[in-house]
Amino acid sequence: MALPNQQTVDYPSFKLVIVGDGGTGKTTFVKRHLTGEFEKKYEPTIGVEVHPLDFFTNCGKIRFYCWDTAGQEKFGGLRDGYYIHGQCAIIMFDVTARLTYKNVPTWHRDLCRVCENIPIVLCGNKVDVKNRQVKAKQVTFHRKKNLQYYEISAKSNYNFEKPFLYLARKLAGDQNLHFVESPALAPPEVHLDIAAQQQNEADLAAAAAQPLPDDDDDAFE
Amino acid sequence: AMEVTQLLINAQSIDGTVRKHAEESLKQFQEQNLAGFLLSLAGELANDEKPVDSRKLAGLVLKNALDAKEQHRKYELVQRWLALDMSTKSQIRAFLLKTLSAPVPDVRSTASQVIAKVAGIELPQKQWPELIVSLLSNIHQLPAHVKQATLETLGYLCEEVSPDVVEQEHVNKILTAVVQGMNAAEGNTDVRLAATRALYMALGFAQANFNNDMERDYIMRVVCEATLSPEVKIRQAAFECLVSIASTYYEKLAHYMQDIFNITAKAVREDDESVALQAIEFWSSICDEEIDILEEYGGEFAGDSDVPCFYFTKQALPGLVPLLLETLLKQEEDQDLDEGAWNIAMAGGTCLGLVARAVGDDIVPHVMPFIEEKISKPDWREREAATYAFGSILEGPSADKLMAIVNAALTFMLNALTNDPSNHVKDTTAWTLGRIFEFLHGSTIETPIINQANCQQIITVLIQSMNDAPNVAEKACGALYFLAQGYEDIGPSSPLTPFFQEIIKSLLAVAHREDATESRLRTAAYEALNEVVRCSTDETSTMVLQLVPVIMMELHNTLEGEKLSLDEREKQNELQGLLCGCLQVIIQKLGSEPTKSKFMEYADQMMGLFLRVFGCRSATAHEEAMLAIGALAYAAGPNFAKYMPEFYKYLEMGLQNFEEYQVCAVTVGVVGDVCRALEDKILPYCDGIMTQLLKDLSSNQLHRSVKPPIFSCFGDIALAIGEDFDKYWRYSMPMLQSAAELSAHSAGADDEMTEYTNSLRNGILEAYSGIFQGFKNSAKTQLLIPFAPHILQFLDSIYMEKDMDEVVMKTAIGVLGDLADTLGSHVGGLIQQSVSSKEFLNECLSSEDHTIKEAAEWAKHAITRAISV
Repeated sequence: MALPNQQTVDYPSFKLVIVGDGGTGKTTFVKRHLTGEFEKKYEPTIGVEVHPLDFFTNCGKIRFYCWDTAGQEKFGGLRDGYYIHGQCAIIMFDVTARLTYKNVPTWHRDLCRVCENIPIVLCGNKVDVKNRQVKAKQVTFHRKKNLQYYEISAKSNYNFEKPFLYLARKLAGDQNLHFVESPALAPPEVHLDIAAQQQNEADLAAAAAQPLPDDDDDAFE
Repeated sequence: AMEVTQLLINAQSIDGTVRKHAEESLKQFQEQNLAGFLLSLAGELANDEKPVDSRKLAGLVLKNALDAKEQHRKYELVQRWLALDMSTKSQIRAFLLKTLSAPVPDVRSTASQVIAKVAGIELPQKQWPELIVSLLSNIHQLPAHVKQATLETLGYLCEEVSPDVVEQEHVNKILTAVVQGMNAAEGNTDVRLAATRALYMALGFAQANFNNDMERDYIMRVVCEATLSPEVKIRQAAFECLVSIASTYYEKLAHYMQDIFNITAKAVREDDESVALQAIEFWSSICDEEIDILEEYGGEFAGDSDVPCFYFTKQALPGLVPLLLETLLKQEEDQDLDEGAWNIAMAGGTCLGLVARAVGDDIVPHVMPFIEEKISKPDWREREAATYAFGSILEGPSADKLMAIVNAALTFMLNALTNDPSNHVKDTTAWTLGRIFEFLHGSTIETPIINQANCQQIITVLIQSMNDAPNVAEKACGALYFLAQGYEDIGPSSPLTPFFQEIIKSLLAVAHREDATESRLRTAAYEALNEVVRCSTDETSTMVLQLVPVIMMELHNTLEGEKLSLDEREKQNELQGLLCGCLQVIIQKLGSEPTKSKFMEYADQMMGLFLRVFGCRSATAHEEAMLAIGALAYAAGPNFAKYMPEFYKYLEMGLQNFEEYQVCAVTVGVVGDVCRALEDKILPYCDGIMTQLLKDLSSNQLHRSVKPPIFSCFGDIALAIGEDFDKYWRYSMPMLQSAAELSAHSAGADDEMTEYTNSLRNGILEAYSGIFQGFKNSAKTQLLIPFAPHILQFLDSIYMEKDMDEVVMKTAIGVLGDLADTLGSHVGGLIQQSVSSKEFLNECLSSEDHTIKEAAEWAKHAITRAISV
């Protein structure tokens, strides 16, 4: 289903809308897939960013055009205007911030009013953080709306592929569809990223304006 | 009107440049000529010649120009609309109403939403009076698709508009139109579906109608009939109405429960999964309501509950439990590998667990025959369902009721966990064992499930299962976690002591499994290890001590920076976090005598490792290392001073970390730990720390949840450095005062805000408390006197707001005491004038919470002294 002005690829592609309160990790979640790197800095999304994500399945390659929408209303741009023609969606909340869970029904409602009957996954982000405000038991919204729920962690990669796999299966109408290789990155890019990372670390060290503390290795020998 | 079609289409482009350009142009148009812009959008929406995509977006942009989630933004938009000239508004309204008869369904639906938003603004102002009449007239005459769109509009309208601003006659007519649309006599499926969904949205709006027996009977009859519609979407929508009614109108359901039971039972057994799940959800919602009501009965405010419990779940038991048990047999093949699986079996098990919590003991006899019959059957589905049923009912019934059954089942479970050929059965068995230990094992249970005779076997089986598939091993670790936790206050000798070494060894081995990153296995292993250590006794402290170099070695290995792939590096960072967490537990365990002196031999090396963790880029690991350092400071006391020169820069970096506010929050806590450890030796670092804390407080970037602990931290610093805190006076007092004012004004908005306000108040009060105590007996005490009126006023205002929680109450009465104690006769008169020293103090003196009472008695004593001098 191509929109006007939309470049397409010669394999199936789907518009995936990602919504949820600001700061719940939507951008981090998508970018982690793009670069494999966890983005630490929080910069609010303005309006929407569209990222193409490719996955390899036993039935061939597929692409999700991820519409990563602004969670903060002041940066919202066209808001639910971005949902038009959405074929599947992820609603994200932060298990360490209860208010973000309380707003899930509103995001769900707005989504369903623009895209009727699309598969939707509810994701509770940041499961590895100790100070949880929303206990797994308290997540009941998916029950009310027959949604798929996953706890994920954009930091530790936990359950990272699950939402995409679920949506791919629903869209393909094939419960046995699976990903054939990890959606990680093409090797040449990895080297580039490592270089960037080393730069990041150098920056961090420089920011501290001090050498890193001495190693105490000998003690272990 | 200006041509917006192409802009609206471009704004949906996947190409960022095209899209942003279009958005920018739309924004400019809006800013230059709002009325013209809105009119163009409405015209676009109404124009059947235009492409669907541009019409839909036109409608949504128009809608978003009328409404926002944030209150102040919404207010601005409403004012902006009301200020528009009448002719523009009436043209827009006309376009909107016209669009309800558009041939394209999506466009009609968008128009419905916009109409509701306009109504939400205008009806309370008594504008657009003809809207409802015009919508109602649509219902009777027009083609089916217009009728459908009109019902959808009425649904949105009911959600948007309070019934108070609509004449009751119109409320009734709207409801009648909706309910008639749902009726089986309505031949058009789309109309019936739209009406059913409209009713869902109108449930809150229809409160008056639900309070009227006859009207409610009629509505309920139509909803129940709709659950039998030949159209699956209508059945699902009707069940969604029932689910919502279960929570909204619980107390009005008695009369309908028998019928509802019959239709939900039929749906669970025979209908599509999407419908069956909603039918189960009806009962889960009823249980949720009853659990809440019964909790209130049992709580402090006995009998205060507005809604009585009707015990619907209990009455339904004989039919409901068999129905749910049947669903447990409908497992999917690979659901254990997918912990997010949600299907009829999972929904049924969840509901069964809720039923157990709602009815307690009564569920047991209804479930036991099923378990007994199926638990040894050749088909794995039957064995798994029986085990799942057993595990589901362990929370709710009394220990007395369950004890005999669990004792009888334990050997069977242990055997199944070892020998059952099915991974599913083993997974559920390990989960069930975990639930047994969670709810039926511990110091509160009279006859222990675990005894000398079976302890060894239990541990052997759990340890064996840790070699099983990752999903099973993870649950075995979870079971061990609760097993250890049950011995938390066992006293000097723990039954786990003989197995301690083996347990630790096995958990470390699990953590080293190659597949340990699957199913959260490694995390579960460290969580269990930490709990085993935390709940261990002095008997095993030597072994815990031996664990120290082992874990340190592991942490050391993660810091060896070979060239790792990104994926490996991530796993490495995660492991660092787990290991720092483990060391933190060990520090807390060994950091006091008799083990302290031996343990402290490792402190230098350990600190070195933690500091190196800060050199790696991982927020989780940073947090954990920071927490471990806090624990180490607590254990080391003033000796921690030697680490400060090196550690300080990381402390400062942590306090500057606005983006990962959890790191900042944790660091603030550690500043408190370090203050308590170092006391006045913290002084050389205080300028830097206070500067950063004050910056944090004035930042609007930093998450607000970090701010209350920063105030508490002022208290910690003042307590540590005493009268030297006077140099921060000039900066900290205005901050405290303005925060106090903020917390007085922002109270009562909603639960979330009240909670935040209370945590803010607590932080401010802890700051005052620390300052008073720090200045006590100092020559500089008089510096505090000018602030006393403000502080007393703050206490009075908190008391008068009547929304403080127990924590604030205790800290507040403590501050009153601190003030009297430190300032004595200087403020005797002021204190006597305050409400706090009378009503508030008396209230605290008669509190049932003994910590509040104690604080109040101390305060009373201090006040008496202050006045008598």
